[in-house]
Amino acid sequence: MMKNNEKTPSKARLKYEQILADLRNPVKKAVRSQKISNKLGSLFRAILIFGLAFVIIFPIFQQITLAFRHPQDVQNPLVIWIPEKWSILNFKIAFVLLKYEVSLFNNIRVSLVCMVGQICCSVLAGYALSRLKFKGSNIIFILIMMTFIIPPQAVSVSRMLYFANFDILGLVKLFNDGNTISLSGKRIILYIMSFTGQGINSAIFVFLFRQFFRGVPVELEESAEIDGAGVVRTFWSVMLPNARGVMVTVALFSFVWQWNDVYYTELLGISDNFPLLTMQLKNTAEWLPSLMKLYGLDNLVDPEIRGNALFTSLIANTAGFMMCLPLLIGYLFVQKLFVEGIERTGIVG
Amino acid sequence: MADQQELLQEDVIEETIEPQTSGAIINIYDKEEEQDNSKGIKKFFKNIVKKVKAFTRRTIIKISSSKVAKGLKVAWEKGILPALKIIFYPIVLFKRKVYDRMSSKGQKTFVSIMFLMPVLIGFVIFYLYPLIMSLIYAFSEVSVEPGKGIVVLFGQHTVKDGDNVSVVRDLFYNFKELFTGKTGMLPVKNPTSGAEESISLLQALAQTSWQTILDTIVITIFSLLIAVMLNGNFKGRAFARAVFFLPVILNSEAIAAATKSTEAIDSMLNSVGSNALTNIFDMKTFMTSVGIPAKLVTFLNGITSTIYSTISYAGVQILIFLAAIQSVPGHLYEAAKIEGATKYEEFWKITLPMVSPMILTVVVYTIVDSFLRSDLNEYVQQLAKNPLYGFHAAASWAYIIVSLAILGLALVVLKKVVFYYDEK
Repeated sequence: MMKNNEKTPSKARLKYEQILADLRNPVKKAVRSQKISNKLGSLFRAILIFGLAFVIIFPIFQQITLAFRHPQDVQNPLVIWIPEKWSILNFKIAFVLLKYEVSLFNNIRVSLVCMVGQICCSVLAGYALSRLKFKGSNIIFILIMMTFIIPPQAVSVSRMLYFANFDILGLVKLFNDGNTISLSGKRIILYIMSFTGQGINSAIFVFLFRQFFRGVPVELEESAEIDGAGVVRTFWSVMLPNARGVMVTVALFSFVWQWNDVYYTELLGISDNFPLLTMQLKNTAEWLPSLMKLYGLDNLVDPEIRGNALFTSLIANTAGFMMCLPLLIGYLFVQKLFVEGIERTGIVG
Repeated sequence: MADQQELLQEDVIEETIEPQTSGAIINIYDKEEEQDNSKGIKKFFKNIVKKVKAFTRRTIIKISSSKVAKGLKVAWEKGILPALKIIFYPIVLFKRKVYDRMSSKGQKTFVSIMFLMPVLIGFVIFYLYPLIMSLIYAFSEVSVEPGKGIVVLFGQHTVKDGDNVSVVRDLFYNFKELFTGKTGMLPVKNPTSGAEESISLLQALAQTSWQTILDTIVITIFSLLIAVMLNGNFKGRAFARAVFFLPVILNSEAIAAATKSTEAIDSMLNSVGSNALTNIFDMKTFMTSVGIPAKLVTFLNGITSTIYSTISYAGVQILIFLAAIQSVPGHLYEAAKIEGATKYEEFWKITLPMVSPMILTVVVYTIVDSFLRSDLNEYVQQLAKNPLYGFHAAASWAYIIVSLAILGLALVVLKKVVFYYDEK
């Protein structure tokens, strides 16, 4: 075959030979199979990511279209996606029922203060537990993790009673004529707890910071020490600026968790004179008809629709969307910082 | 016109000053910002931010040059600063006399303890004390009386049987009642018939543990996969990451509770055949109307609903894994590449072993989290709202013990898997 070809070397034949040789070449074979597997892998990844992103984003669109639907269309089988009658009536009703103008700012205030507290105490603890080790610091770490493993939800009654009759080692009784003070219903207790590492999932934040500081190279610290920086100075001007990524992560999580929190606000009975979005939302879903009567919203909607259970669902949905809206908008702005933060969360020099 | 010109001039002056003031700090982030030429919405927002910054700078200059500010400055220098110095003198003295004379190691220990102080105080006051009290409550009858505060009768229980009131001396009364008696009945929805059934606490514990084990396995594997996927280099990675953490933000107990109260009505209406909202907006109907076979639709629907809940509970886990993957030293991958390892082999031989210590963390987190989300926890909280404090304490200790048992099991299983890499 080969000899025949040498006599009459047509261009097409040569090309064919070339391709055959390429196909048989083991090196090129390996390269090809790697390329194909890479392509297939990235295709699979693209499909998976696209599908999961769809699963995540779909309910949000659903909620938005539902929120803009007029209550009259509640049982209209023709309306599936685009409302026949666009209206912001749902928003109006939810706005009043949530006491949105007050509770939104209350929420922001509580979440911000708790966020700052959580970051402060967990960054300090995380640094101390990873870089300033002494005998027994591992035991302290285990104790801190215990606050997460045995969650405060499990001891909520004794906590509730404890806050209702607050007394530290009889000291409060000593100075208060033998009476304990009641801390329930006061939001300052939330702040104190987040500044002393007992906020929502504080142990996780301590863990994240500890994990990060463990990864920072020792040389950085040593060079700071050689330059004459003390322990606090090293922490403040060398380690802390490096921890920016983790801090953003922790800030986002603590803010969001505090925003969505029901357990603590309910346990401490904070919502009575200090409306928070979560509690208002819960009340709205439970007592919608009577609340509407209370706020004089009855004439906005026909009585027939008002009695419909689906109307309650519609309003609850809208109110839930309104509760999430500030977070969503905030996330749009912080998202870039957060994603960058994730990249710096586990960095090793 | 004159005013405008003045303002413009001011702007120009400030802009010329700006690089000098901010030039002292070399910042990577700012450099990046200067380089990218963004358009559209981004530019719009950046302009707004710029204007706000200029405005604040202008107002700060105006305020600082006013008479009040000067007066305050004098007051600060002559009055407040010396006073502060006197107040904080003991601390300064302490630093000079004790702290500065310590060895470097002593200083470290001292600072470490100071850093840990807030957490330790919080731990003792807000956590340890309630925990111990709850252990005592579990074995006693607890009531709150207006004049006396909390009344705890250790190992004693008053039992009302009609008009007869008798005192029972039994340490484990609460537990016995919960596991056998009426107070231990937990209303649970039967998944097949939808009817409300009541099961005892023991059954609930078993059910929750089983659910937790399943959840933990699924979420751990899922979050590891997602983290590996998000770690790779591809177009739109930032977008994908931003989207994947959305459920964490939207995952709210309050919203779940609000929609849950209406869910029962919806399902009832659905069974009657009326057009309930959830039905109309279901993906199921959407897909069947497009023409996808019914069996496939139910399958996909089941998957999507589980996937959504899995993602929304897997946020922290994905984060932990991502951080762990990023801290794997790059030279390991380089060496593997030179040896001709495929991506698959890289995952099993490098990524998984290096990440394995974090698997432990993720498993612990997932177990605790899924226990918190279970019906059991809800029921225990319900006991707290009815003033059945003793029962609540007993139930929560049963809960704690079971969750600790599962954690122990997980630790024993994972101990063989975990691999610790030591670079030194």
